[in-house]
Amino acid sequence: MDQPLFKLDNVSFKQGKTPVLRGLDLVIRKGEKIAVIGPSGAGKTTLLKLLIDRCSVPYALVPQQYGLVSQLSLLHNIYMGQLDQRSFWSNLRTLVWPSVGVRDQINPLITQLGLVGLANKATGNLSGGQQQRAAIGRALFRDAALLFADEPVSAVDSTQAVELLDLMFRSRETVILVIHSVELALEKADRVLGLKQGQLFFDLKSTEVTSDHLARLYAP
Amino acid sequence: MTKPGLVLLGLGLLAFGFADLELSNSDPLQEILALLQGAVQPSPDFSLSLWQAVLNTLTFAIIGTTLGALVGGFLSWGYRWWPVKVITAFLRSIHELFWAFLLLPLLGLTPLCGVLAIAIPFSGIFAKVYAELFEEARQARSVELPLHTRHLDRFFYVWLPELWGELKHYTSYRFECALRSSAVLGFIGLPTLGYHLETWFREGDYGQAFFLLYLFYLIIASLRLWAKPSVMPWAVMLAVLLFPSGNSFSMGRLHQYLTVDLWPWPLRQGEGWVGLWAWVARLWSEQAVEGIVQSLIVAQLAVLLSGLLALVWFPFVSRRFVGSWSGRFSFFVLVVLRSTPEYLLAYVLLVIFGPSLLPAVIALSLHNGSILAHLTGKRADQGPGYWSTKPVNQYLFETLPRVWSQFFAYLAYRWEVIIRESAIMGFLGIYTLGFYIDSAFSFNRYDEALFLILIAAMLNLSVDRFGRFLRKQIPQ
Repeated sequence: MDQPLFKLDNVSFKQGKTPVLRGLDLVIRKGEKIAVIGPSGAGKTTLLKLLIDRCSVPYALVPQQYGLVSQLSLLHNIYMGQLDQRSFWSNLRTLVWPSVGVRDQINPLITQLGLVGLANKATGNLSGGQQQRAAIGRALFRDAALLFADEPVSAVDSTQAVELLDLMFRSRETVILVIHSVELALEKADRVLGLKQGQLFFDLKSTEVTSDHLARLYAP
Repeated sequence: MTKPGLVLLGLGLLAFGFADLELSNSDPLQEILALLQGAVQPSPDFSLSLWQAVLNTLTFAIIGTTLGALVGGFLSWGYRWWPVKVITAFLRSIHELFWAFLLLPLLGLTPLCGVLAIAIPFSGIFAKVYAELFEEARQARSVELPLHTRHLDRFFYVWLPELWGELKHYTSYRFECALRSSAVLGFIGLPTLGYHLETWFREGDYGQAFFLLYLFYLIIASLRLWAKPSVMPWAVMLAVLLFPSGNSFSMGRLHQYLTVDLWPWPLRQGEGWVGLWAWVARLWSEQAVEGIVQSLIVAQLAVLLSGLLALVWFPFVSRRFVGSWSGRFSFFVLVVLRSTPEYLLAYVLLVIFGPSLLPAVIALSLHNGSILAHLTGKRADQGPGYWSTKPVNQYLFETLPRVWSQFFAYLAYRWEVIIRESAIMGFLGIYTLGFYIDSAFSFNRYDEALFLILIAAMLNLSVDRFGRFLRKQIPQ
């Protein structure tokens, strides 16, 4: 059996004096596709950040607020996923004039993301959904087997959301995502963590989650 | 009114009690009429020396700003390190004219002297402003980057693009300031527009002087057409190519200047610490105290009047209060006043009113008041669109309370600029620190000049610190 990527043993977390996560016990292994669901304020994003802080392997992240440089082009923003993997001079050159090689590496991803024709457009001029796809593109361009994503499909329509989640799950070995859509979580993830008021309400395979679990998770 | 506002008001009123604002010219009307005639009927001059002066004014400003931005940009990287902070504070606390005076014995009246006089203080200013911008960007950073991204990659991919607009805006603003400084450097003999302006104003040839002044306004007004990032690299190359040759620098002279000329006289004479102390005490009591007091009087009065002027004026540039045509006219007047170097304005007012603190105070108040009015007017336009039936009620009960904090923050910031400028007004014959510095240079007493320049720098730094303290006291 693989060594776990993460092992939380009765972990709690406070923001100031307010407890956000309480008594979490959790083991995550390589190859798992995990969705974290729960009502607003349950501590989903905090859990993701906590895992990122404890992460010892290379990872990529799709943040909730996209984290793009709005003045730079889509191509540059996607390229930024590999900034630390290339030399300074190569990065500088790409900033000024991206080479054919770099374009050839990024263009297929742009096509997969449904952003054809927008490579040279500043991300600040893209729509919310396009920006979100750009953030996914940057994470996927990063050469990392572990992908974290915080609400990665909140700004796209349901068809695109399914395609994007497929793309993320297909192209990365381990995926941990926070998602509001219960349907998408159950449809795409193998394992679902239900968080409520900072506590792990359930930790089940997606096929085992029942409507009763969900009703109790989202009950006030 | 807030406590910091009361402090500035109190200091201004106190300065008023001590200020020599006497009109020494008993009949200013005749001079005013002559000036007006020159303003209405400018005499065009297309001599080669004038165009050379225009070119010099531009090249000094372009190369000076570029050098200042490059060195300042470099220094901004180490700005968190306290020695860099101290050095840059020192560089910017000394006015361009003082730097020119310090460099004159070394470089003579050469273009290099003019360029360095702009570049040195500007590097200190750029270092501080760029460092603050980068720090803001660093703290507000929400861009997702790989964990081990290099500092330089972060700089080029995140900070530079994100701050590009602000950097461009600030650098072009400083370029406009550099043009004013470049022109003013002519007043001490460097071959820029100020040289001709000074000559013609002094000789009473107001027609030619106003022609040159209008030409200067035209250059400032044209900046938005050509001072763009796509054009500036070419402009810099052209300025370097056209940079006039002529340099009297030598290493021997530098050695002599640093180790002898600038060294306090008693130490050169072997009088030791006792002699040095007596020298410092004499300079302090006979020149520095008077210079500081007069500089502060001029500055505090100018701060008070600038503030009052701006409070009266800003509604006239705000869309909330005036129609588009009267707004544009007010805006035009503000732009003209803002574009006119304070030193030049003071020089012209000196011709009208004769020597006293009055010309310096009015010049500083008009220049800084116009900037404050412009900024406050812009701020007034940003708020919610509540309109009362009477504009006076709108002004007193809605707009003024809303813009007060920001207005005061601008005023406290201009305080530092004003104190810096008030010192150089001494070159016009009033007893601020510049007067004593000018006298020391005239008698080749470089050690005394340096001592007084350092005093001016300390005064500037103290006001800067106090201004920052006051800004922090303003309730947001």
